[in-house]
Amino acid sequence: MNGTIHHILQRHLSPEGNRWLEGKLSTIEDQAKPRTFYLAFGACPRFLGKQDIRFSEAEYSSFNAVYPNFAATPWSTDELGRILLMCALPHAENQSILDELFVSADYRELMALYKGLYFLGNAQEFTSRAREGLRTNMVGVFDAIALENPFPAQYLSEEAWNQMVLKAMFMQRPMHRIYRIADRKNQPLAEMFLDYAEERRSAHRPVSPELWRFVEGFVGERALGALQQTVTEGNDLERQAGLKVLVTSDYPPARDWLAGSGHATDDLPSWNAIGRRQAERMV
Amino acid sequence: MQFIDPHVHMVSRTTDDYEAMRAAGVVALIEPAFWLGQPRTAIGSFRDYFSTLIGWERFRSSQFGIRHYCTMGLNSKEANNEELAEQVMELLPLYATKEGVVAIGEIGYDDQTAAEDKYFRLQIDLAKELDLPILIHTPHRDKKNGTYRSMDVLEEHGCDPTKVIIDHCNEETAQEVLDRGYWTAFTIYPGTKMGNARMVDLMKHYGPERIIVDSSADWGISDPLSVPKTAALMLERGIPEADVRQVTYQNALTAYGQSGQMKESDWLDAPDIDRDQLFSGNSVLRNGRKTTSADNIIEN
Repeated sequence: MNGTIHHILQRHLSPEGNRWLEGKLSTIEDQAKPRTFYLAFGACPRFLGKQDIRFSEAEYSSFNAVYPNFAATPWSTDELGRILLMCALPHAENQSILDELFVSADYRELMALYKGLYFLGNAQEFTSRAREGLRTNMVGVFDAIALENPFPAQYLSEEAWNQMVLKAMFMQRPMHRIYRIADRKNQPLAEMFLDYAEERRSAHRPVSPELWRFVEGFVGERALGALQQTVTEGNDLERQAGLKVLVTSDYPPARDWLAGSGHATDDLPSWNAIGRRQAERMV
Repeated sequence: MQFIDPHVHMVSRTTDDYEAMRAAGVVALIEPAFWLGQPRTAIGSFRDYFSTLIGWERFRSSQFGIRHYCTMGLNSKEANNEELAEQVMELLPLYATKEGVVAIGEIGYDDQTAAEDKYFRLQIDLAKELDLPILIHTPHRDKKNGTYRSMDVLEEHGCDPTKVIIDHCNEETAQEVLDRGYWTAFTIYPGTKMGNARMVDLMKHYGPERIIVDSSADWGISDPLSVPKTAALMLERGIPEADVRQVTYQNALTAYGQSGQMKESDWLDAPDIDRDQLFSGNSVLRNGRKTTSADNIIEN
């Protein structure tokens, strides 16, 4: 898959940038010396620039074949250069060489490293590294893993996935930007979010309307009470979110309550639309 | 006015300090790698410290709307632990090329031992290899000889003085440092009135060329508002605003900008405070608290 990045990146680099990168790639492919790799990785912004690349539609579709959701975030020249260098390391050694870099990387390097993990042929071997990365309090680094990145959905265990999603909510990140968020909903996560909603309400703090999408499909007695409160006391977005969960529920008391409540349930916005509107209000 | 504090150890400072600095007009700062008040005993402590400078502290600063840069180096005190010093020298090339690293420093002499001399020279060579400016820490004891000796060694290694900042200068060393063509930096220590007043006199004597004012605020008694406070006193005592700007902003930018890692556009074109970086979990700005900006918190 690094053939795709290589081929496309070449078109977006200056002749000098291309020469520099080709030189480094062939040196590393000949012999993966850690020092050569670290210095080249560090120097990418200097030789390749830091500007975001404008891809054509055709380029996006090539990328999407190797990296789902590629078009969802910007990619810069130095970032893709760094990822290409990562991909040039032999699989037998890339973990030890990259481990050393992960613990000494700067902010921008960390974001490139985590966005690049999915491109590695042995990406599944970096699952605990991604979990470690999610423990950061640097928002940009957290976002590089949690938002729009296909790695977590593909490789994180349910337990690790749930912790990531909960932390994203704590950090007030835009939940709708977590890739494949709907596919990985689960009962324990729904329960944790119900606990969290109760905690917030006890503290008289608002509950994000995005929280309720994790409860959708898992409505029982406890969830029903929380949803009723959301629909009757919440603002417009919260009410819409609560109704969306109730309208898709097959829990009979939920259906009965909804039918008797008289709330209109046609034309409810999508979860992503609710997420986007909530994000706009947070600014 | 906008200020740069080109020497301040923020890992030792609180968020109150960050808020006060921002409110006082500090838009950028440089955090030189130094010692922590007690000697480190393991290479991992250096690694984590260096990682903090390029990562966490840089992020923490950005949450208060201040651009954070740093210098990388093995300080002279800890150069005396040679076994550890060797390992730090292996680590430095990895960190010296990171984003926001504007110089090798602060390096130089403390007791002026043979080990200090050895690692001072090795780091001068590293700075030359990477084409980075150098920040020199001049010793507190035997200052005059330590300062002159530092410059002798730099010249022996063929360093361009316009790429070297000699810090902690005083009335006794300033003339020689200026005459030899170096950036001449002064640290304003509290009791601030005395420190500030001395600096005003120095400015009246030497003018603003190649003079830099910094706080060197750290874990000891020190004042992270030294730069804006000194600027306020200079203005009060009739020094032209253009000259004040030169010594509290422009000279530091020109000197460290030679690294290619520090540009005025980094803060002029940046959003005031990265709002989307705010969060209310376990972080710096808890509970969605907004940073404040008071109109004027400067008092001399």
